[in-house]
Amino acid sequence: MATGRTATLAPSDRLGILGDVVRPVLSLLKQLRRKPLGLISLVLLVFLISVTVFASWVAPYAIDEATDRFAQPPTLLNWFGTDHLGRDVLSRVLYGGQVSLRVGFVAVVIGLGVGVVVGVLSGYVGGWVDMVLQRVVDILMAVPNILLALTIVASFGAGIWNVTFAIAVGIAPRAARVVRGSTLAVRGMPYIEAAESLGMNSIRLMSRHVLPNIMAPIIVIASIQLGVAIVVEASLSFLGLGVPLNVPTWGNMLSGAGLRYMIRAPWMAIAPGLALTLVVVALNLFGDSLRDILDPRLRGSRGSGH
Amino acid sequence: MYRYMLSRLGLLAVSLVGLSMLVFVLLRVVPGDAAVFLAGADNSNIAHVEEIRASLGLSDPIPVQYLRWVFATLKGDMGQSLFTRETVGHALSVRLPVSVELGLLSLTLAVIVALPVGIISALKQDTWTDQSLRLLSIVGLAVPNFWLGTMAIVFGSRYLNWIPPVGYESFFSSPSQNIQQFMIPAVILGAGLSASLVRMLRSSMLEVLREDYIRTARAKGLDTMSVVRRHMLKNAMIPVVTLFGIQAGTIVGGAVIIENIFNLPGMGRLVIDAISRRDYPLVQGVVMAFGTFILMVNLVTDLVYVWLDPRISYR
Repeated sequence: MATGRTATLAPSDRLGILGDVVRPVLSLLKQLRRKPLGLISLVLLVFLISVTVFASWVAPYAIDEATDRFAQPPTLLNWFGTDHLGRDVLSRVLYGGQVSLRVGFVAVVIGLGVGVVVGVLSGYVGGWVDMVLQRVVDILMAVPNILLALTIVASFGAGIWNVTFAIAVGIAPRAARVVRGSTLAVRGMPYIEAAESLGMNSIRLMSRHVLPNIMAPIIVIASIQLGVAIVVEASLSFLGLGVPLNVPTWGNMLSGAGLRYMIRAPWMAIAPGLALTLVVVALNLFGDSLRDILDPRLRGSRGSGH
Repeated sequence: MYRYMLSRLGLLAVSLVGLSMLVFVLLRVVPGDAAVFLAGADNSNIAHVEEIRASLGLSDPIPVQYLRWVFATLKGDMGQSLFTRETVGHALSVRLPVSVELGLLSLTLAVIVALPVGIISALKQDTWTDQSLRLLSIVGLAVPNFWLGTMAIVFGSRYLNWIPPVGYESFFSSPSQNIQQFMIPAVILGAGLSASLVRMLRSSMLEVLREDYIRTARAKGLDTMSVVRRHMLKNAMIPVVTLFGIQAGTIVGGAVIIENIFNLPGMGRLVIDAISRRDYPLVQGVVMAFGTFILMVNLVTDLVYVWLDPRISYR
């Protein structure tokens, strides 16, 4: 894999690792062209994420700006209606998305980080390390995501960081399981054997040869787990055990006032739920298309391979 | 096979011990405990709080508390709720039937919907029927349970004049009210389940579809229905079985949310109430019950898997 690359000094060598990791991701994205549904979902995702990230430019009203229109159905002035305090629901959905997406994103980064380290170690080192780590994974996976997060939040208290951490704890074992499987598959490859017989040290081997080759499944699980994380955050907030109520998140908008007024002003509950669903659908479609590209058996079944 | 079963049972035991430690420690790592809560208005009186804490056994070191709890649990005594004084065992046994009914009902609905949809999707691969069914199943997977529940209540009460009945009636005391209470929650919980069943069934059917024995069956002139029924389903069901193991967690997690929205007094409601009051013994009991259930389902699916597919070696 290092053909054409000349011996370099340490700093650019580190950049080389980054390159090795980024390259498979880019080539994966390039293959999305063959998947219209995947491409559409990617565009949708980029759109949804940008409008929430740039909410302060996009949103027609400020986050807590009250009008004199209380709990009004959607009009041209307020596309998704107004809530019981006269605030624009669309603007709050956009701002709320910032928190929801950030919690989900950070949780995935933490959970995936831990999961990748555990999974690669488990799969590459094997033996009793694998045995012990996998039992821990078993135990964590025996408690449903939402219940584990609830218990952690109940113990450590609500708040954005605790919620993020609680969600990450649920993601890590699932990521570890997938990464372990992919590592086992890569492990048997001749190039790993070659690197081993050249006397490469294990840490370098894992980061340089194993990690870049399991990037694709990692991306798939990241996109799917991001969807899960967003839903878990919303569920926790919905149950009143998540992000503090005064912070607008999609889950919070659906609980509390959203719930009390839902029969009189259903748009208050429809809009955030719709946003939530749209993001999760897009993430799942995206992850799914990537998985289709990755699974050679499915590729064959499209009638192009064999 | 017996050796495999034995080793799996051993692993189950290890996992149960680990699970119990996890739950036990998790609930005790942070100060602010039930004693403060129980002391109520008097919670600034430190001596009083200490007294309550000691009487509950909460002032002993965590390992001591853990061992005491393990031995008591092994004797069948899971302690009692700190607030209602109800024994945990009793609380679980009262709430269990509600959750079991919800779970079974939604699973049944899910299978009834998923079987035909998955088969059609696979047989008509890449046609627009297939594409739209797949899109629908992804949406079904992605729509959060609690939002579907909220929407069901919104539209039910606005347009259909239906609101979830308040008082719970068991199936045996009032079948019609019971079904009214469970139908909508079960449909919502089942929607997500059937979506993942459809996806799994579709992909495993597609794999089987390419096997030589299917071509042989076709070649000898069997019509599609017979091929599906006699050759494909049996083989396609093998990977679907594993899904039940994974779904156990989904059902439990979904039940926690759904029971809270629809006022069903099951284990999901119980655990949320217990968590918000830091009722340790109760939380422990419910989380352990859920975890044990999931680990058992996993074990059973693994065993069934081996039994269904003789090609899998068990060590």
